[in-house]
Amino acid sequence: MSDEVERAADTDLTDNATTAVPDGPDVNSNPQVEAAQSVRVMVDPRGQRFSAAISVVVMAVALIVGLTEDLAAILLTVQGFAFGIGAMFGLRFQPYGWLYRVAVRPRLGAPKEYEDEAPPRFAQLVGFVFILIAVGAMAFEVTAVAYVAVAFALAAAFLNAAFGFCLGCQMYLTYRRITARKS
Amino acid sequence: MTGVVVVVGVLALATVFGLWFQRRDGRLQDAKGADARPGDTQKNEESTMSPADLAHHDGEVLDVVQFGAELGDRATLVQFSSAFCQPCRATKVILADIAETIPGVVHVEVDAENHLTAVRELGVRRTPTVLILDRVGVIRKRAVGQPRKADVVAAVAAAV
Repeated sequence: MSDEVERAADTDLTDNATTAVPDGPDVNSNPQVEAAQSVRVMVDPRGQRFSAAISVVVMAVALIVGLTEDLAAILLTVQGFAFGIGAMFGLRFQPYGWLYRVAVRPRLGAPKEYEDEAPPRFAQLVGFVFILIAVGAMAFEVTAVAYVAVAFALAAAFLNAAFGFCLGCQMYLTYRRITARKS
Repeated sequence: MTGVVVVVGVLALATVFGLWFQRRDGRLQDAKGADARPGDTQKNEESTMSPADLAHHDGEVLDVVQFGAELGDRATLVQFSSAFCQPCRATKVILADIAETIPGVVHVEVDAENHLTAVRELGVRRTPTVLILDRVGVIRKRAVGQPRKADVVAAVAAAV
């Protein structure tokens, strides 16, 4: 496993992009877990914290401007697109992630470790759903709902930026426990 | 104005939650007797264990055969993971390393999604959740979140 990660790091230095890491056989782990994660896209964890910080600023400004204002609607639409692109196409196509790669990362150098893209990508989807609810509520002038939805998205993004804690990821197992049929 | 209140409130609450969470995350806690349910469904598959062994322990026994694994001679580290889990990979590296360096210790990684019955029975709410079993399969410690290596090593030593 550690060899795989190192190899990912080497490749990443040359092309400065995310890398697919085929997982080698691992004696100690469950084959089902391995099969589910057989090819992983590895990302720089600092990138998504950077993206989360920008999301925090964008959503905070939208809230401070007031969700009845057009500027807030524009900001949240931009934020919604950023989340949506991240969820659908992956973090490397996410506009904030792109900004990190082009403008920030060259100054920082290669990261010490990489992480699986799947958890943060799922979190982008959760963020997207909240922004969708907010923008929809604003369109129908149900401003209270919009405030609550943006508040949740802001809290999640802030926890990610400040503590590296992925709220959307934590919700996944809870979601599965509720939705999967009891056997 | 509403927006300013929301921003300040959310950031304050999230900071408190984040600090509290950081302190609690990955800490090993005693599981002994906390969730003991004698006569559980797992019992019938414990035929390899002698009743005398069982009598010494009053905790919940976890049957690792259902995960396609076997108990280690000294201790077993059961890790519940899921696909969308940031700290699972780092946890796996730590536990696998311990299993490699301490003889008789086995690391078992379980995909929580494929074992939802066990997940519900054990009350696993987050991944990673790590259970430290002693040599007869009694759950001794539980950590929710990524545990520190030194803590796990100490708990393994105590479980023997």
